[in-house]
Amino acid sequence: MKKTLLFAIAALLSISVFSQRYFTRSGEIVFYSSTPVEDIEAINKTVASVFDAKSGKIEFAVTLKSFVFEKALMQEHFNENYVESDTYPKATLKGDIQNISELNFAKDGNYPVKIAGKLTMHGVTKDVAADGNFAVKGNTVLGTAKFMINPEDYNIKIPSVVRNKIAEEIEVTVTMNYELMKK
Amino acid sequence: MVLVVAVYAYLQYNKPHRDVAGEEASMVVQASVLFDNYVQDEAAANEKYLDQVMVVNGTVRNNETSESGSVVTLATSDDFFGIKCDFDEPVDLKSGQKVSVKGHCTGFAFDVILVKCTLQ
Repeated sequence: MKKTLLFAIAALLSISVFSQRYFTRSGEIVFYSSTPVEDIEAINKTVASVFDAKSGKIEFAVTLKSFVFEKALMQEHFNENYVESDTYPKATLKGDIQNISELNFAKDGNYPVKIAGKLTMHGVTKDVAADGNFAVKGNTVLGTAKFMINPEDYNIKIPSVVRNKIAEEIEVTVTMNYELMKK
Repeated sequence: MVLVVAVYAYLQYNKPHRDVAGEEASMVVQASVLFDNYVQDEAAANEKYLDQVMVVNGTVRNNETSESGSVVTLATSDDFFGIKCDFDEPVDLKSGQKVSVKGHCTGFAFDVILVKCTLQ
């Protein structure tokens, strides 16, 4: 009986020690390009992301073929001419929540977060930084952030014939519905 | 001539999206085989599966459904990751249920990802 109790306590302790990771497989990333000629939006609702509430390590993985554009032709150009998704099917971001120690996951509320890391896309890796918000509610965290990327930084060439239709800088909006990982 | 070019440009500009549900699957694969292939060698698996419309047979591990659709994960050798099937319409699937899902494989991001899924 005592042994069972000890075992139960040990099991509970191990859960509290190891269940510090939050995960989503249905996060959303929106690309938005705005020019006087045309506004273009692409949505990806199958973004996977995991972060560790102790260390602050955070990782995102996005398959580029999951981006949906309003026009099929735009989607085709995005995949074939710009991100070349047959050759580079995935983009990843690996980084840190730099102010993780200021977050209290046991207390519901909104916490500003500073994220910095390395974004790999189209075979190029660059440092990126973004300010965001983590809304903690029970076992869930709604993470939101917005930042700008310049396609040319990732060696993505926009032909001059469509240059006036695609913004120099693309706005990236990230919305992640994390849940505590039960592994 | 100008008219022909204009009509062609207009039709191209407004051409429909790929009809995954209406397209015939190019292959049928078991969820566990698909996942193991990706874990062992992602580049080789992409050669084989990326951009294919395929039928995947497996067992439902979980189903996260909202009004905007369902994200169904098929079980694999991994305790947590598997085949993620994105349905644009909500589907009523329970964990443990055996299913055949047709979808468009967009690659590997922790899970193998299928989008525009329909039940077979």
